[in-house]
Amino acid sequence: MSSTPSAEGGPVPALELSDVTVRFGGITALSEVGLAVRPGSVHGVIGPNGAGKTTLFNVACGFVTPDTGRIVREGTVLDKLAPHQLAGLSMARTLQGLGLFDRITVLDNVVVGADRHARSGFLGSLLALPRAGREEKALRERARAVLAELHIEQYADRYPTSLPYPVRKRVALARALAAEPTLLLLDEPASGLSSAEMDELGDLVTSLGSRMSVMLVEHHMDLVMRVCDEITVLDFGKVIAHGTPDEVRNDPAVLAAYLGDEVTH
Amino acid sequence: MNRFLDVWRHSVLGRHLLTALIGLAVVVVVLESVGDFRALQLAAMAYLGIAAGGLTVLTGINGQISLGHGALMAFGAYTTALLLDDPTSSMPISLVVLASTAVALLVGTAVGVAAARLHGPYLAGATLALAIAVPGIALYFGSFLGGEQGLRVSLPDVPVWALDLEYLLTGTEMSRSQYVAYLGWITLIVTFVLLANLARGRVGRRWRAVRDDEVSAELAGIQLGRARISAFMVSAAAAGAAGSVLAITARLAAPSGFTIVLSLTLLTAVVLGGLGYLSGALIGAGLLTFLPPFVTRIGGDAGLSDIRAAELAPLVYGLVMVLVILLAPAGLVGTTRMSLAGRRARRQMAAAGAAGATTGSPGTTAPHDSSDEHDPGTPQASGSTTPKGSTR
Repeated sequence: MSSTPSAEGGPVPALELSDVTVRFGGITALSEVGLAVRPGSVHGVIGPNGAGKTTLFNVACGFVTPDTGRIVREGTVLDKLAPHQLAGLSMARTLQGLGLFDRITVLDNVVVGADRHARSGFLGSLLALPRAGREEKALRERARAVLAELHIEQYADRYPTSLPYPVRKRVALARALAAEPTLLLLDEPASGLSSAEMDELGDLVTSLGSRMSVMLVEHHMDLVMRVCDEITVLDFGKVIAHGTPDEVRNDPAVLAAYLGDEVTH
Repeated sequence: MNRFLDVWRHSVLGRHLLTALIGLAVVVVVLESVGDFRALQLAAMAYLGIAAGGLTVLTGINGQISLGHGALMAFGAYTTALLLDDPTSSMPISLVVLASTAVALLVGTAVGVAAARLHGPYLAGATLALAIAVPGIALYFGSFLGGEQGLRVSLPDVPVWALDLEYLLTGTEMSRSQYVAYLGWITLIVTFVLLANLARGRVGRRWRAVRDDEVSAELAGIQLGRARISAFMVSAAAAGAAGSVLAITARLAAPSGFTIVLSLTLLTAVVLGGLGYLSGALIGAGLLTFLPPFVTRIGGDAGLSDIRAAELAPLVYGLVMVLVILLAPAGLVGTTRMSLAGRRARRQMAAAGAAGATTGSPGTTAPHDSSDEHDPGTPQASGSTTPKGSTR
């Protein structure tokens, strides 16, 4: 069942994982998993609890080094991937726990996301050179634009801890978008949101698909089925199905994996 | 006046330089109106302030703790003493301070590389070892570094241009104590402008990001090790400059001046003033310099014996510390700023609420906000929006 989707002469995938195996001690978290995120598509990864979705995500962004397997980003093989290299590869990721910088303002949080576009070095900051100043201004404008796009510009000068959870969630997304990635990894973007907020999120993710490739891990089946172009289903660390939402929905293996499993919404 | 406001609002460097100029004017006025004794006290405040400023960058902005900054000051002080051991030496004093800064920077780089791999109590322990070990170096190389007695610093004559300038401005002679105080405060102003530039720029933002969330900082492309080491280097350089001013002020570099007590004093200054605020570091340094003698004098005036009066100082000092931690947990400057910011946010929210009520709700896509009543800094506790699953 461990199929590696081949490129079959199509466009180069935004991200391709092949034969990825991860063991934690005696437990095999992922076993020969493969998937390819087509450029400009929204690729969902679903599966019951403990299926290895988050581990797969962590492999994709360098938090976990797989025991075997290859990670290929736009045709380039990434041997050793460290998290800080992600931004340079035009990849951005949101975290389940948000990981906002709590003691700087919302605007500064988003500016940190845009930081990869900055060039100025230590001397630029030390002497507050005009060039560094102009660059800072440009970063802040970019960050404000992203805040406006997500309709949270009114919170720019607030601190994250003073904001309600859905707003903080948007701040985390804004920080990732400010990097202007070509591949965006979303880790459970809908958790903790009301159904109205989830609808908005769905529209947003769909619209992002025209600007970048998106890979997302999500529990909420409604959302996944609505926004994803392709879905990979994991169970016990293995790929059990792969295809369009309709194909996956009717796949007997998927139904079996989810049968009895509590699926909210 | 408009031009002035423009510079203030739009240029970071302009704002810092204007503040520096105002600071310099205050320094001149104060130093011209005090005697030699006060001038030396102010010089002591300056070196504590410089070192505390460097430490507040490290601890407040980058989140690393150091119990070893006194030891880094020792490197600066001994460099100054070695360069100024000859009264006829013609090396300009600014070069001496710079060289001392450079030596502490080198040592700080080595320590910083090790520190970047350590966290919390381990980092505290490692830097504590530095604070304890470094005075021993002076004893071990006693013939070169003067052993227990330390090295005497022979201050070169006050430069002629400084004497001339002083005479032109006030018609008086500049005393050596005044000269030393000017040297300390000019060093402080230069250091603070550079530190403030760093704190406001890209470098400072990266330091804060690393402090607040390492994983997110890495995902934004920041290399944690580099950010930590650069913060340590900067604060070590400030400690070196402070050590140099200390040696010049005390006319001595001796191991007894750089014990763990000095490192703890610096940390106290930073905490009293407010972590991460340069102005807080300065206020903390001022408190530590002037509170003990002030309390001792009050004790003496109240009829206590000299010993009793001297015992009063640590007591009051401890009480102030406890009071600040209880009443202003973010430090004097930090707590003031936070309450001002909270008031401003509430006012803005009230104004926005009033405007919203008259014009109607704009659009449907705005997130559902029920946070009007929250101050920045208070954990959000809105019933309908309780976070779920905030594990990572």
